[in-house]
Amino acid sequence: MTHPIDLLSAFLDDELSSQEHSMVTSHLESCATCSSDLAGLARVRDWVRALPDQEPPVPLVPSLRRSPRWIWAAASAAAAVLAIGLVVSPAEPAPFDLDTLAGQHTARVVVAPGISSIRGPVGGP
Amino acid sequence: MPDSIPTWEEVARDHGRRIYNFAYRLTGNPDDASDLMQEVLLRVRRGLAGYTPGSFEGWLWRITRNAFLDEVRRRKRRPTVAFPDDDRTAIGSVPEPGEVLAESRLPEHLQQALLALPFDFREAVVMCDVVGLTYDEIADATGVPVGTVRSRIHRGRKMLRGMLE
Repeated sequence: MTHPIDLLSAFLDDELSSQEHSMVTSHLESCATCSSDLAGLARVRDWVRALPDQEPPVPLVPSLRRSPRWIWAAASAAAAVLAIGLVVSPAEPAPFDLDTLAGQHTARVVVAPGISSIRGPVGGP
Repeated sequence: MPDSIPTWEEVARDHGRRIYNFAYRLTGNPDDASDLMQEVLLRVRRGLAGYTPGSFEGWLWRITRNAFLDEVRRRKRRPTVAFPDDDRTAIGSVPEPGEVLAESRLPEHLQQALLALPFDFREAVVMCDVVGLTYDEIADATGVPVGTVRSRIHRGRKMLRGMLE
């Protein structure tokens, strides 16, 4: 006897041709093994079909206006790396010398003979 | 779904919940399922302009499985956040065969058993028994012959039975 084992799930789902369906039906009438297999497969199918429907955690249509979580995670990670980089490796400050800086912003003016020079901001009083 | 082009709002309203449940049963994780659902709906919105009326279910579920597989591939490159797939299963958490299953814990055990199935079988079983697609629609969505779908569903159920009974 050839057992139509591979057809049993499709038999349950009514996905067999009429010829195959008739063949499996008549086989089941005389085969306890296949009947038992069919009952086991039906149990599993019923369990899966009875799994509780899960509620989406966000409203479906408004959710499209948000980016997937991983995009926000990636953006946050990039921002964190940038911030850490700024803290750990700040840009090297340029050498700073007050006299040099003042020299760039002052004009040397001879006011009167005997007074060598005074310093003041360019355009200042 | 009639043979007309729906708006993405209609797709989200009419199919979003099924997409989420499909994603949840494939991943076993509400956050991943939510991300996947949003990704699918974004792809639907982009793809609707090019959609020609026909097998809407096949089109929609092809997009859904492709989004899932793309995410699997993306996470394989970053293995610390892997999706459950053929190579990473949760077999360790599946109850031993013959264990008496308390009625209240059956969904949890069943979810773990689903995650332990190789992807092709898990996908076929979930598409059939969670989403409610016909074998023809599953074949259309997955790009394999109906005979292969029949075999995958049957073998998937047999594996689940072996793990749970």
